[in-house]
Amino acid sequence: MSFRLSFIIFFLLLLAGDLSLYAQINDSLSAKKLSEIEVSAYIKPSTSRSTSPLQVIDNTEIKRIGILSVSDAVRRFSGVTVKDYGGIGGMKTVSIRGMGAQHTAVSYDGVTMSNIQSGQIDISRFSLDNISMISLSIGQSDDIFQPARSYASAGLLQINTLNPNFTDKGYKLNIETKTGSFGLFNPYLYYAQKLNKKFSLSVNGSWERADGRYKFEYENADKKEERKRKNSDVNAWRTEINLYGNLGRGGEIRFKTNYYDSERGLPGSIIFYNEDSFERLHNKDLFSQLYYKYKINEKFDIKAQARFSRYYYQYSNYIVPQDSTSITQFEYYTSLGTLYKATKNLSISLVEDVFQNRLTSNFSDVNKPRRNSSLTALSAMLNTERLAITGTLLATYVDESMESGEVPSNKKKITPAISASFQPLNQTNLRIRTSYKKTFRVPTFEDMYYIRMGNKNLKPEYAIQYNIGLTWAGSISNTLDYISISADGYKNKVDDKIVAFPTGNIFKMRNFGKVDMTGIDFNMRSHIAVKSNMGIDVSGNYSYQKVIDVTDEEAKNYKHQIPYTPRHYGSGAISFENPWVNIAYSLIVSGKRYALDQNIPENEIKAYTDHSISLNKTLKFSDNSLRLQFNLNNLGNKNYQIIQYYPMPGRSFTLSANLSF
Amino acid sequence: MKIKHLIFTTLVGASLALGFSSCSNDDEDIFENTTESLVTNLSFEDTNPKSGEIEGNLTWKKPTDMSELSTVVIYASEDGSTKGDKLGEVSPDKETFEVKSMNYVKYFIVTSKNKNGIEGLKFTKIEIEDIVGATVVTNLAFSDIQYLLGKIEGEVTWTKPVGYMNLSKVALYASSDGIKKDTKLGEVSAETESFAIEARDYFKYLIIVGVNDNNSEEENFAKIEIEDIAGGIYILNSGKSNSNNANLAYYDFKTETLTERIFEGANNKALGDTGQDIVIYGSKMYIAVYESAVIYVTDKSGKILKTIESTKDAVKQKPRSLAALDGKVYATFFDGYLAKIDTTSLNIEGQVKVGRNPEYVRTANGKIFVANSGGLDYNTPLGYDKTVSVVDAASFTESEKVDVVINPDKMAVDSEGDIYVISNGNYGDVPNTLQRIRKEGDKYVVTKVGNATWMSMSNDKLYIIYSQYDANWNQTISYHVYDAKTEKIITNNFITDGTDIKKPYSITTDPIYNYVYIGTSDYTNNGDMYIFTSEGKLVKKFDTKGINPMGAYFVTK
Repeated sequence: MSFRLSFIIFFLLLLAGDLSLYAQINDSLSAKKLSEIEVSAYIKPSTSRSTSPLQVIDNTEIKRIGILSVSDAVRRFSGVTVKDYGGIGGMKTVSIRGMGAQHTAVSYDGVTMSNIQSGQIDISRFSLDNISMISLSIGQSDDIFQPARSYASAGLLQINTLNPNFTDKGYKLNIETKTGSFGLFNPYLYYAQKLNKKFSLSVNGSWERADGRYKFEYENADKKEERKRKNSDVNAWRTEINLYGNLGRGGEIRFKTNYYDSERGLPGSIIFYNEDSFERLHNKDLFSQLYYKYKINEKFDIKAQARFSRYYYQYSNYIVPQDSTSITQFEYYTSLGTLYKATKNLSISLVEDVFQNRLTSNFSDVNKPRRNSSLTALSAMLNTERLAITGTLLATYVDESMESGEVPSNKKKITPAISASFQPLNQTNLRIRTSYKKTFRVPTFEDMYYIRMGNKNLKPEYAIQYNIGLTWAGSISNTLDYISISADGYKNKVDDKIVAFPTGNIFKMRNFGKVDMTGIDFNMRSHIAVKSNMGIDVSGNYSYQKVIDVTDEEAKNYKHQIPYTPRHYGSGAISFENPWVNIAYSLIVSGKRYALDQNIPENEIKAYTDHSISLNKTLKFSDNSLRLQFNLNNLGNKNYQIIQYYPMPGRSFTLSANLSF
Repeated sequence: MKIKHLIFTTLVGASLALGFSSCSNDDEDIFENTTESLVTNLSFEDTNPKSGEIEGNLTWKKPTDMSELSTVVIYASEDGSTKGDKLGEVSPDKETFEVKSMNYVKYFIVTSKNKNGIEGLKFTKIEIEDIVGATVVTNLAFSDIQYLLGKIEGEVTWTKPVGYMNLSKVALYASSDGIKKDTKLGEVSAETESFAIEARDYFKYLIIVGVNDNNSEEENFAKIEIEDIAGGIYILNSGKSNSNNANLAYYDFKTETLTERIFEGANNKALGDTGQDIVIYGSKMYIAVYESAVIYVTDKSGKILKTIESTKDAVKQKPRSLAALDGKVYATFFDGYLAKIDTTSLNIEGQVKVGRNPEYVRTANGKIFVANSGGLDYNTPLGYDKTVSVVDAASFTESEKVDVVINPDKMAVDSEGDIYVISNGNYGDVPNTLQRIRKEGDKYVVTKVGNATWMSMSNDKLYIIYSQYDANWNQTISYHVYDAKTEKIITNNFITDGTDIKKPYSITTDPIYNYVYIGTSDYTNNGDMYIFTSEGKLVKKFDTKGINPMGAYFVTK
């Protein structure tokens, strides 16, 4: 089926869903079905009441569709582009609505991850083990009691883990083994122990290894050539210890230490006629975080967080040892906040984040740069039955320093965000939402200090977002018992974009770019109850993104779509849960993209579709259960490229067995 | 018509002779020959091209009745009835007689003698035509060696006319339509078979006409349509790293059109990743592709003759720059080697270790010069290299290293063998520096000339682009011309027509038009090529259909 045709069908399906909604107005509230696994310690936020676009994939859905990685989950959101360099070891970054990965904040259990060097978070570092929920909010989030840093980006990708939920036993044990194509072996162990009435402890660890040597095809002129991925092995360890304390009366304490060690080959892009590949990357990331929440009285809540992280990054190339790089980043972070519930409907919060980032590297001329940041977020939220308004003012102060040499100037900014959701009619759950948010990203250390390219005079890069949308959720009949839809249109603008700007025969980072974004995101999810123990879930989304470069009227790429941003993108999944074997089919469709700025045929990367099938079965033995899952990925067996000349693996399988006690 | 006439005459003659013989057949002194004893089918073709002279073989069919005959006799005759000079006798069973070169006579008469040696009364005759040789030259040929568009130059060659001896000389004309003789180019003796046309404006037809002894031109002439060989330039678009989009475009000066993706069209494969350099030497073109680690040897249309790949310690060697000298092409490999390619076997014959990360290679006075940049050590304690290796071509060994400013990269050579080197410095306190290396006695002396970012040498003029930038990275670009002979700056404003070039990326020159080619790049979009005259006037500007144009390489196919 041609790409265009798939799109039309996909779109018609969405429309069909739409029409039936208007045909039958139903005022019942969300009858969202909760599965057994979900009866644990987290609350899924309402996506239809959210004043800004919010998308959530929870543990249940991850298992139901057979999602294999965090990036695989994020790819199924609308308005998002995941840059995936292919394979398990390939870097994966997230950009929202054409704004660039540095505008996406990634938080893990409530604390924002940082990368002061490059500003982008490689989400391949996370595994799906023990994940309770992945959510993406675009623009303003309605949770006003978050660390201030969560407000500072154009969008927030949140990854939250499961808290242990003890039933009658005082412990939980989970053993999983995953294996699959290209030498994948991934054992995982989780153990949680109840220490006393208030405290519990969990430990988990996993090892992931793969050689990643997949065959792939690519085009050279009119011919197809075949190769096998080389230097693509991955060897990653993930370990985490959590201490949970329930102090009663809304008091909660959590402590976490996470260590990630990954040693991998960087196979690089396909280079015609030359298969040499010698680059390696070693990451050793350690972080500890402490979370404390306490309810002082009915009106006041306080929250405190602290975090230490040390990220070590080592790039090596034994053929060009001069290119070898080792960078260590340190972060000391604290956040203090208070929430004041002024009335039943009005809450006000004030959160202050103070943190320091430091970097040491083997670069002779970068003299231990340091950044102290202070972020203060003052937010208010009005929430009535039919109207929700959230507003935030964020004050940012950034102080740069170095051991010696010229120091970049400090930065002070106040940026606002406001969003609202309104239900115009009592009889229907139809809501209208609109939002505005202005954010900026401070130049990264790479932008400012990178040898020859860095520019200490850089200003922040701005992102301005306007969104307007409609949401509806409800049930139509006993069979079609849950359906939710949303449609959002947006207009964004990125100004003073930090780009590598050629000056003579060298590049300098400069505030030069201007990008305009116009787009639409559609989301639909529904549940059909076939019988009490049988159900079908259908979900889908479609994104239209017109993201054009408006920097220079005289440039040949003026008003051209920026690289790696498809105009059309969508995904869909259908799953059938039944007492025998659960089955799911999912599809990702992406339109053509351009690898470089100029929209000419030579720069085009072909459209692609990715189909996969997942089967799973859970067997129960008294208290224990065994869950088996089999996935067949990329059924079409096409080595499509998300990043040009980084081929994706063809058809592959994974098989996992999970024993829980 | 002529043959009919001949036969008729012969028949009339024969019947008359028959009449005579019946009257007086008893006379001893008279040989009353019969028609049967006469030769028939007389034929002669004048092979002597000179007017008034004839020569050739006279042929006939022998008589049917030869019983009485002793010989056949051939005469010249002015009127066809009176026997003139006797040319010779042959035996009656022969059917041919060689007429030696002689003055023209109108007739040949052939009769026969009987056994008594008496000639018959009857005879056969043939009217002779003086065939004069053609006065038109043949095999006219001309090949334009003046590659400027609209100009021609070169040698006209032809085969002299068969009848050249009838001419005093031949005259050559330029013609616009192949009919009118517009301009006389010159004249040469009729025996000459070539003429050198000096460089002049293009004309469409060349006419060669014979001039006879009366100094008047013959009516017929030979002509040839002249092709103006204008040449063209290959443009190597380096492409963007990891994009495999290096490509070769060809711009033709005559049609003023750019043909893109020449290499891909000729070979059904892409050039590869980051095209680096081209040298056109002899009938072949050598193309270095850096990340793909190949040197292609192609014909002048871009068709691959050989793909040269080299591996050292299991790692592909990446070519950087090329230069030709005495039947060899030299290539720098970024891992620190200079390779020698034989232009006949197209194999790498040897490699010699030079400095770190060599960039340009150039040749002068039997030496090969390599700029050792050490570019990969930009951020290590070792730092940039700062030497130019001198390699002796004959022994292919490095004879010495000449110290220059750090990070040497580009080089150019003048007619005196001086080497100009641009060191890129460190992009900080050491600026881009232009130096001259000259051999004085047995030592190489380095002199600082000024500042430059890019350069190209043409007719001992060094065309220079200098890009400076301030603390905010705002770029100031200037264009200079330096006289390598007088060693003085000619101008600091090469561009004289106000053309504004935003992002220069390369500068090259050609030896024919003396054009200066400035390629531009923003590293994002396809580049542009600006073609300037040596006086700094824009001739043409076009999109190069690729990113990062490395330069223009003049070629005549």
